[in-house]
Amino acid sequence: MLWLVLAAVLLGVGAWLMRGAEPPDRDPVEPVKLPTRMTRAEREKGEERRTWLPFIAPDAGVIAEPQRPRDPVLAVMPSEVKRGAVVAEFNAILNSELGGKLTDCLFGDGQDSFLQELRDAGMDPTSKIDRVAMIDDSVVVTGDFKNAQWKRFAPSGSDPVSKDYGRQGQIHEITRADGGTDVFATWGGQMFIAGGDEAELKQVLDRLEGSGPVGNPVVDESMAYGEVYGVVSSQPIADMVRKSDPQLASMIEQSAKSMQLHMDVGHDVGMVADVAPSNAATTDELRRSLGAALSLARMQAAAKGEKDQADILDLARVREAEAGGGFRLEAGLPNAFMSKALDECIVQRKQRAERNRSGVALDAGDED
Amino acid sequence: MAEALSVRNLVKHYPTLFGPGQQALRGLTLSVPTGAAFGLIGPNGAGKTTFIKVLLGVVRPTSGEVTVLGGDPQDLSVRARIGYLPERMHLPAALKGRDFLRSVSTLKGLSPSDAELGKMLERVGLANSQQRIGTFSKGMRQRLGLAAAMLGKPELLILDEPTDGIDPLGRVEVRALLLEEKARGATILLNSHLLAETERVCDRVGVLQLGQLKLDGTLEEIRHASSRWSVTFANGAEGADVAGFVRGEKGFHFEGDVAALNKAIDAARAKGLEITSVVPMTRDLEAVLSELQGSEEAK
Amino acid sequence: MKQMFRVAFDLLLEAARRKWFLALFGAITLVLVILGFSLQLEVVDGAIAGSKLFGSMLSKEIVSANRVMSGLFTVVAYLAFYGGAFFLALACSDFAPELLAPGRIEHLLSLPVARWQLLFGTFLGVVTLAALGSFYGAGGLTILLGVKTGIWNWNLLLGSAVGWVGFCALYSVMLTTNFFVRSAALSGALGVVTLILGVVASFRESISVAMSEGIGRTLFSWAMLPIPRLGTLATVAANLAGSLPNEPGMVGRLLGGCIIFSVALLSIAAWRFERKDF
Repeated sequence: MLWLVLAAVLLGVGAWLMRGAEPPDRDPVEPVKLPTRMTRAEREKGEERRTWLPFIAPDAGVIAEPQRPRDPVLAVMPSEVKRGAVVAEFNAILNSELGGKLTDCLFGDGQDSFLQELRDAGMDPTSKIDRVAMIDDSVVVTGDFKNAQWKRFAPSGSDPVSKDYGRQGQIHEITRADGGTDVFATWGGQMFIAGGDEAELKQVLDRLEGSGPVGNPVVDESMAYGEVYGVVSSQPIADMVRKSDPQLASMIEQSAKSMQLHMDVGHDVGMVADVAPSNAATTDELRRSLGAALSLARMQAAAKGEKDQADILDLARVREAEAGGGFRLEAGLPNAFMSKALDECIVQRKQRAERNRSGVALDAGDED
Repeated sequence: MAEALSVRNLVKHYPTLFGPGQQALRGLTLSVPTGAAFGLIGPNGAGKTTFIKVLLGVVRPTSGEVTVLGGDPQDLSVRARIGYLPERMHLPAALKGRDFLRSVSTLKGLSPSDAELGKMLERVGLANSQQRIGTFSKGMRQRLGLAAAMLGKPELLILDEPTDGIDPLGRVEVRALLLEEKARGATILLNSHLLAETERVCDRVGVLQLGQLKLDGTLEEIRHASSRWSVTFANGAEGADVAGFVRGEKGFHFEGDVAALNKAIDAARAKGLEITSVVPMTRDLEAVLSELQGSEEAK
Repeated sequence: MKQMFRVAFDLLLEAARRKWFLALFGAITLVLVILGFSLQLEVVDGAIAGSKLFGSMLSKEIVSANRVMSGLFTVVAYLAFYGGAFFLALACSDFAPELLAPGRIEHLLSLPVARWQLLFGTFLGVVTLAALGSFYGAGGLTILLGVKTGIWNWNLLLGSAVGWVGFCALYSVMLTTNFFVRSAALSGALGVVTLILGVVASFRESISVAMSEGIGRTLFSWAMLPIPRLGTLATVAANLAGSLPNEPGMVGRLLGGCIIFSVALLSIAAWRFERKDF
């Protein structure tokens, strides 16, 4: 009978121990959305952006491009770049799910002096800037600059020397504190162009108004999807990794021609980079090396217990291209990770601002 | 003389779900002295195997007292001193004979050497058998079971049909083995349907019928425990049958107890008959069993 | 206690001599060899550039060998858990009936071995055998994939250990059955039924919520309460094998619960055994 009593007690204890032990719901690893093709919304947005740009009669002997509405940012794209041409949907990024935190990370709680300066100049980045494009050494910013006060950028506060160029273009010259001059261009109150000398600015304005030489733009309308898109040549990428991995840098230089980049920042951060080959054999070698490097990095992260990093690297893939001999590199940063990273950034920024304020107060106290 | 085993008023019921079921042992009282070779005989269903299982603790008695080698059969130290060969022993087919003996030895707390195991196999005539038990004949299995029972020189050997399936020559060998064990001083409890076997090995016999002990004693006592007498007359035997003597092929015999016999003798003398001898008629165990069976049926 | 281990050892010895278990180890080896020849993994510095099974390309993607292995180990652990439990339930079903066979059990009981020692020794012997089988399979697979990929993930062994605990619970039911009805077929069938019930019990809370209120739901909830959560255990084993996270507290409770369930069932068997005449 003792055995039966023991059995009853044990069954009870066992049942109590196993209570509620259902198979754990495995958190479905939601794949990060990758910008692999243009969405309908992006196509519609692109169509809305097309503008009837003012037509200027071409010089004698130059064949004019048949007139059609074009996206002004894509219109300024040259047919070739040395380093790259990348467009960022600045406004869309700031108004995305992560945008609030990104703004706080970039500009703090509104007390940032640089932000204030931009606002005073009528170029509030949180409301006045639409897109930012980097084309080699030039920066093209689009937005609403009708009320911009360009003199604010001049150290002396004097109005810049401005002259009209083309139909709606203007070239401005400001005098620096050291006596030298800086030039920038604006176009129709909606575009700001900086970088390069006056001749280069004129070339940009010519492309914009269709009065320059015609060629295929390095970033065309079919490539305008994602929050960041463009083309980067192999050289800057090779330069980026040269210090840590010279062998990889040399392999990139030899095998990759350029990389078409698309990045989504809507919810997660997803990136797709299509690598165009310059040499099929070495490109395949590069593909394998990158895949292996990612895997090794993931394993190292896992071995070190850096789970977040391992998970992120787990989202990184290298896929063989369907055709053309190139390959596609995919990477993703989940929303939770980005959110956490931006939170850290905001905290650090606040701490820095706090230190700066107390430093200023201390200085003021010393003066007393 | 000390008792190797004794039972008193032993009762065993096998109740079923729907009733009292079968009563295998009905108040059995029996004792076997140490060093005796005790033969248990009786017809099928007499309760012999149940009695043996009670002695081993395999079956729990419903009531009564059981003492084996001075202790309780449930006591492991008592069981360590018993060797048992069950009826129709089921052996692990995958093992070899030596493996099986080693396994039993280990469970008995023994650690015999290979040579000792070999010797034991030789004793039962299996020295040359290297095959698995699954391929053994029935006789070989019985021999191996016997060897397992004899491991560790047990004080009490309980053997249920030890020569079942063994050929006549083999039986002689087994008998010799049992006598060797007896000579060693072991108490033997033998249950066998081969009554001649029991007669040759045992010095005491118990006859079980319907769960009760009908006869118990030395072999001599059992064989002579009869009411048949052989009678010879000196000069003719005219009128002998009148006095109750029955003429048979080999002469006259009388059936009845001693008092009836004396009355019959007196009656014969009164008729002038001279009696030269009166000898009790001996019987073999088969006859004893038959008589018991007959008297039970008559009841 | 010593006698219990002797009984277990004897059972192992007997099993080792039985062709059935030679076949078990042979079958595991065969599966490993076939997998070894048919799985081609092209490995580049710890990453898998391509993998083929029976000549078909599984993936063109370059992925971390760890990640591929994790998925593979998870699937293998699930298959091994359910397949192994099913197979072992059938394979081990005749040990107890064989032991309790007329002519053998009387002999065993005549030896200086207590009945509970015989019972627990038999259980110990069979589960040791199951442990050997599962560790052989898991170890073999780990070595096979380790040699092919350079990734030595010993977690499959941990997964198989968890699976083994599940089998202990299963076998306790099978063994106990035989003390009521000596039948290999019934014992094996009840083992399989327990496996199924173990999966159902794993979702006890979810299922009872889905059931309409009433006596049926209450009965279901109570009936499933003591049943070992074998489905959850399978997930734990798979997670372990695939290096996926598990909740340590729950794993501990589950393993403890399964072991206690096994001892409880063996106690019922012991109660029955002690009263039974043979």
